[in-house]
Amino acid sequence: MKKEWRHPFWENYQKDRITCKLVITHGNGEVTSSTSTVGKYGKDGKITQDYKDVIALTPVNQIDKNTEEREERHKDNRVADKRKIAERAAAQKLEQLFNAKLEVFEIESIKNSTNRKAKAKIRRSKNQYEMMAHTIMLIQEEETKNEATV
Amino acid sequence: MVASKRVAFYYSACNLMECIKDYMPDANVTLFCSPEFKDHRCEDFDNVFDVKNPDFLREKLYGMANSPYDITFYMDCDGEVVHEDIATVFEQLEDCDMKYVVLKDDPISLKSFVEKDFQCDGVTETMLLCGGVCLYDRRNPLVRDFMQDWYDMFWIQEHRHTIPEDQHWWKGHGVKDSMLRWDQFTLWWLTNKVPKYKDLKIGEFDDNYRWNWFTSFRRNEHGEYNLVKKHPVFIHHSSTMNKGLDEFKNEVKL
Repeated sequence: MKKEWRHPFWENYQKDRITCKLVITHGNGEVTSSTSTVGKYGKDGKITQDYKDVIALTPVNQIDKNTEEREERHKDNRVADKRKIAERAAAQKLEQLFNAKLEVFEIESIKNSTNRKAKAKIRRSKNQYEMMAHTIMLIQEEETKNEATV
Repeated sequence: MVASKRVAFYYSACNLMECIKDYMPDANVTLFCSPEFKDHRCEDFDNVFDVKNPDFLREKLYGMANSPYDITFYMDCDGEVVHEDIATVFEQLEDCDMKYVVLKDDPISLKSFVEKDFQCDGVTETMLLCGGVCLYDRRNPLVRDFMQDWYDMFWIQEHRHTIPEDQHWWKGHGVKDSMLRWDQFTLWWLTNKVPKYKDLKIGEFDDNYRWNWFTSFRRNEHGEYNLVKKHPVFIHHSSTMNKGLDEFKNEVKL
């Protein structure tokens, strides 16, 4: 059986625990891999053999570098995730606004209104509040017009 | 534009027509629509024609084949025009017979729209042309034939379970059955596999996605629209429009 410790990085700032990918080549040639945590000290207070093996393969300064790179990568991912969430929310807002406008244009008095300018204002509204304000104004205008003709 | 099968498309088409006329008051706008959808707003279109098969979801292809104009800009109706440059759309045709938006730069969101990459005759092919908008010149008889073939061939795809197999034009090319739901696949076939149409000049719009910008492309953190240099002209809500809003009249009360 052959053990190989790949991509080690410090799990804590005390630098006494390492996380890495443990790849084991078994006697029958089968290869298995898992994420493994290697502690520096055993229960007896002595440095563990696994730790020695990891350090023998990857010097401390390289593990430092791996750790920094990983932190940087995770930081970038968090920023990208946050950006994606914000973009998705903005897209949803745009879609909701579009659907809301379509609904508004099916309100009888607005559908039947010939006031193109007011309808264009509804269409060009940048958010639902603006759209609602223009909608209410047009409905009121149409109602006033209807009352005057009755 | 074309509205069939679902009345929500008609509502959206009315809105789109108004959007166009906001920026282009003299624009000629023709609607092909299912007869039962019509209301007084049809009077605001320059022409309203009945679709041939009101229950067929892709009657857009019938509308495109039967446009009353020499030069037509077809638009899917589930979107909105948001920029004055719509008035310059016909300049985009230049010396081409047809212009399309090309599905490139591979935004992740496109992968959910269509099976872009597919197998045909053992080769991996890619559907690049998007049928969401199309600018074309019907004065060329080949273009007229092209549009008619697009409709007829897609009709066979959609009704393949009842149409005899000897009419299955894709047969023997190792195309997955799931591809047959896409009219874009028919478009790909016509532009890549049919010798008759090899001389058609097919081009891409300037600033490509500007003419068919899907909301799923999203805006960046500065509020700028991704994948375009300038503000989009047509924003397409294809993947998100509430197509189930067929009961507006009953639901909306203020």
